[in-house]
This record gives sequence, C-alpha cells and structure tokens, in this order.
Amino acid sequence: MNRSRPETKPLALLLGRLGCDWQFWLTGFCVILVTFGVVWALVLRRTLEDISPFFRLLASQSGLSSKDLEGVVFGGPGKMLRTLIGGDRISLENAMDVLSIALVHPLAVGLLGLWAIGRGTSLLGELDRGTLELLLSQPVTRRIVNLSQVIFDFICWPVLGLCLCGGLAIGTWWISPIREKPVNGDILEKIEASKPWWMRFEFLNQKPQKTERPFSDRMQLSPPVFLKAAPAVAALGFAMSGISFAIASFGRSRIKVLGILATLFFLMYLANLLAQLFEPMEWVRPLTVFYYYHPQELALGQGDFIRLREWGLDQPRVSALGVLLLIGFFGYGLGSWYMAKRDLPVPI
Amino acid sequence: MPAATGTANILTLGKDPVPESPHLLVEMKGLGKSYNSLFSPPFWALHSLNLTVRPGEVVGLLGPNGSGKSTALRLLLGFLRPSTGSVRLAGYDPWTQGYLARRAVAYLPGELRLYENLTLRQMAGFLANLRGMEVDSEIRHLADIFRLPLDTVLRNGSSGMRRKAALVALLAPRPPLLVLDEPTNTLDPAMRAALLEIIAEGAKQGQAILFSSHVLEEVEAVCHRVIILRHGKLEAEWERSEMRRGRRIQAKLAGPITSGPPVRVEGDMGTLSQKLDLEVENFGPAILNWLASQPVTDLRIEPMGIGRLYQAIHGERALGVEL
Repeated sequence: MNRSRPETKPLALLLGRLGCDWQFWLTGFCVILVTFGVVWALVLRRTLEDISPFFRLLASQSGLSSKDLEGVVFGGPGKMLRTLIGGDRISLENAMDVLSIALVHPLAVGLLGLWAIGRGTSLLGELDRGTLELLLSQPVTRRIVNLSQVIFDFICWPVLGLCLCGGLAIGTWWISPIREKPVNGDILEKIEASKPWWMRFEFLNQKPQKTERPFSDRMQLSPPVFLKAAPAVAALGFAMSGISFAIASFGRSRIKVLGILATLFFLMYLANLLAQLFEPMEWVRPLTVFYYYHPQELALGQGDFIRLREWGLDQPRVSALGVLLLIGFFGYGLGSWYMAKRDLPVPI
Repeated sequence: MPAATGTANILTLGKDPVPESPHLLVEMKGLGKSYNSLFSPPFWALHSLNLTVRPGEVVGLLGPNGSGKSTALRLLLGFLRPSTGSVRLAGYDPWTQGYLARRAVAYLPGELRLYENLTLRQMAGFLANLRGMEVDSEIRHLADIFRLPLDTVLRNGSSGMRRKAALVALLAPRPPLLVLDEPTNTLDPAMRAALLEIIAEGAKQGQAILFSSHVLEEVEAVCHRVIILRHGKLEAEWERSEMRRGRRIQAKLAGPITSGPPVRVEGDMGTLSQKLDLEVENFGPAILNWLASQPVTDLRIEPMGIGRLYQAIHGERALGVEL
C-alpha cells in the first residue's frame, strides 16, 4: 500500500462528518454535565450552611467533634456510603471535599459511561445502519476511519471533563462564600428542654471540648481548583470508550454490545465499591477502570499516584491518569487492529 | 481539486504503485469465500469464481438468493478477505490496497444506506470530496435528469427519491467502474429508462458496469455479457449474442407433424394439443425450412431471452420476466 499519499484530507472530512453527526448529542451532554455540577453545588449550599452547624451543635452538646460524628455515620454498613463519596481521604468537615463528591457521584459516572458506550460503539452503529459500507466503498482506508473515531473521542473527552468540572466550579463560585447560619431557636430550646435538670447547671455540664478548625477555614471555597480534575474525568471517559471500542469491534449487533458493555461497566463499578468493604476481595479493584479514577485527589492537590497495595506492590507508584490513558489507547488500538482485518458483515 | 473526468480517472494513478493488468477493471481468479464456524463445517459462499470486466463492458450478475452475487461484489470492494484465489480491481488488490482500488469504483448496494440527515447536495459532495473531487455541476445535471431536489434532507424523501439520490451520488464522480446491485428497485418506469440510458451512455464512453438485477429484461437490454451464479459457483456465462440465439416457437397445427425437427428442440410437439410450443437453442435456416414444410398456422417466433435460459438452468418456474 502506498503510505506516502496524503490522508489528512479524508481524515479532516471524516472528523467534520463526525462533528456534524454528534454535535447535538455533544451539546446536550455538555449542558447536562454543567447543570449537574451547578445544581450539586446549589444543593450542598444548604447542607453546608444549615445542616452542618446543626450537627456541630449536636456534637458539641455531647462533647464530640465532627470527626467523631463522621465515624458514627460511616461506621459499619455506612462504610459503603463513604466509599461511594470518595473514601477516607474526603472529610465532610471541608466544603471543598464535600463539593468534590460530585465528581465521583454515581450519576456523574453513569453519564460519562453512557457517553463512552455510545461513542465506543458508534462504528458498530454505522455498520448496522450500513453507512460504514457506504463510507468504505469510497477510497478511504479502514485505518483512517478508525483513526477519525479515536481523534474525535480524544477531542470530546476533554470537553466533557471540562463541562463537569466547569459546572462544579461555576456552582461553587455561585454559592461563595458559605456563611454559617445560626441554628433555629426552636431547636435550641428543644435541646435545652430535653436535658435532665442537673445538666442545666453549667458547672455540671463541662465536657472536654475537642479542638476544631474554625468554620471559616473549613468552608473556604476555591472554584478554579475543580478544573484540575478535568483530566481525570476525561481520562476515565477515554478509557471507558476505548474498552467499548475494542469490544464493539468484535461485535456484530450494536444492541447486543450495548448490553454487554452496560453490564461490564456496572459490574466493574460494583466490584470496585464492594471490594473496598471486603478485604479478601481487594485484589479485584485494580482490574476495574474506576480504581484509577481519582478526580478528587487531583482537584484537592493530593496527587494522582496509586501504589497498587491491593496487589502487594507498594512501589513503584503509578500515575492513575497514565493508566487510564493507557487503557484507552490499548482499547482503541486493539479495536482498530481488529476492525481493519475483519470481514465487514452485511448491514442488519 | 480535479473535476470529474470520466474514464480518465483510471489514468491518473500517477505516483501510486503500478497496477497489475491495468487493462482489466475487474479480474477474479479462482475467487472463493468460506465462513468458518466452531460448531459446523465451513460454509462456502463462493467457489473458484473467474471473472473479468474490461472498460466499456456492461456485465450482468444473475442468480437466485444465496447464489453468491453479493459475496462476489463484497470481495471485489474489499469488504471481505478472500479465502481462496485473488481479486484485482483496476489492477489493485482491494483487500490490501483498498484506497487505490476503490478510487476506480462506485458502489450502489441493494439495500440503500445513506446519510439520511444530509441533503443530496451535502451527501454527494461529501462522498465526492473523499475522492478528492468537486462534482457540483455533475450533481446538478444528474439531479435535473432524475428530477430531484438538491436541498431536501434525505430522510424526508420517499424511498424512490432516496434511491435516486444514491444514484446521483454514485454517478457524479464518473468512476471507471460502477457496481450496481439491483439499481432500478423502487424506480418508476421513466426513471428506470433514464438510468438504463445513462448506463448505456457510460459504457459507450468507456465506463464499465457490473450489474446485478432480478429484472431480466433490463439485464438483457443493457448487458454485453451475463454471468449466472448458483450455490456460489459459476453456472453459465453468455455473451449478448448467445443470449439472443435461442427462440421460442409457437404455432397452431392444421394437421399432424410430418417429420422430426432437424435440430434439438424441447417442448410440446402438439401431438395431442394440436399446438406447437418449442424452445430451440440453435435457431437458423434448418429449423425455418422444417417449419415451412409443416402444416402450421398462426406461427409466432420470439427470442427466448435469458429469462427462459435462466429458468432452464435452475429448473425453476419464472413469473414473466421477473424472477
């Protein structure tokens, strides 16, 4: 095959075609992700301004710190909730930590998965519809068609990552600054009334108060910080669409492959979640893409490295972002290789 | 960007590898395709097909469903990898040199697949641009012939309109070879005639056409050569003159036949029915002289056509000329 011929023109045309075909869906997804980020911040404003002081009051009344209360809430079966919101590294005392939960929220991950599966199987969809046959009856190589898909995804994912993180940043900017609201007077009266009579004497009610960071410190917001998580969001999406592309390239019917992929990603998500609760299962986690997804750490400046302790490897440290990109490229590579050598089935 | 230049396209392969046998647009040698399965023996969709198509030739590909027509066309376009033999399109291997090979061909599939969210102008322009061509004037010209709106989104058109749009997109770049799979499906008679005229005109200008159809009248009208496939094997290959050689003879008999025909015939000699209904392959003066010596009235002689030959080969009853 002549390798010297210019292939940039068909590639540009195919990218333009993909852009036209997907512009509606891409715009829709961007709007949904931005809205999710903004709404998440708005919803949490109430939690941070009203509910948080209330829990602190309860804690102080019983001589506990907020950390102790977290321990009660997230102990036992509550550990699953902690796992869902990002693990031990997230403290409910800090507004930024709480806001960053949006990045690992099952709804956000589900939306990213939806786009990944849709895009990863788009070539199979074209095969089903027969437009791939129409395209490949033109002087275009399969290599270029595959490459156009990879490049298009490589462009889309940063946009989607920025939308989710940008939405969260906009929402955070919107609710800034967080001001502590005094606990409702009625509730204070009820708390007082519920105390035994001897506890109403201040000198009998002295308990060792735990030192806590001042409210203003914990509620400090820095909206642009969330944009740092965009690469992690994009990398997770790229990895998922790479896996989808690889599996789709072996498939025949898009509907079947969609079902397989939805099940696969759901099982991965579940495995990553449950393996954190049951230690004997921990080795499963590095086999799932979600294990390498650490947007909160990136946003909150806690680093992007993982140590693979689950496999008994404390060293060397591995870049989670790098692993996700590697998975994505491997998926696309495998899919492209197989798509280029397989017989093109008759459209359904 | 070069404009469409008809058959000259095949000559503009300039810096690309030199094609093998460039005088042949299609060359299949012992071409076969089998599908392997874990749980059953391999299924051979096509066996050792030999076929050539030269510039200016219109070749008809006939056969019942499952005879291997589509497999042959898909191998030609590089959609499938041959299991045996080889195929060359404009001298290039369509599997390994698909880009070069497919510059010489435009393909109309039997089941229409289009970018239905585009208008005719956009789709034809996009496909031509992939060939590195600007074909605006050709598109307008062909849209006039087929009476098609250029700026209507294809999904809003009728099935006939979509087929015409596909034909316009296919014909506009004027590649050296057209591969048409049942091109006249859903076309009205006027458009059908227009298309056949375009095909005949293209052939006169050196364009080759590989034509698959179930409408034998059309095949007979435009094809220089007909290939019949059955169970994935080449069953017969006729030149146009051969197709028209056979005749069907029908007549009423005023009395009994006095002597046997001088050549081999098949059919009813009218012993009981008093009606002669014969098919004769080698029609000529001998059979005419024989007829003149028999007590026949209301004599009718017509070309057998490929419909009857097709029926004869497959032993299936054809309904009129449609199979």
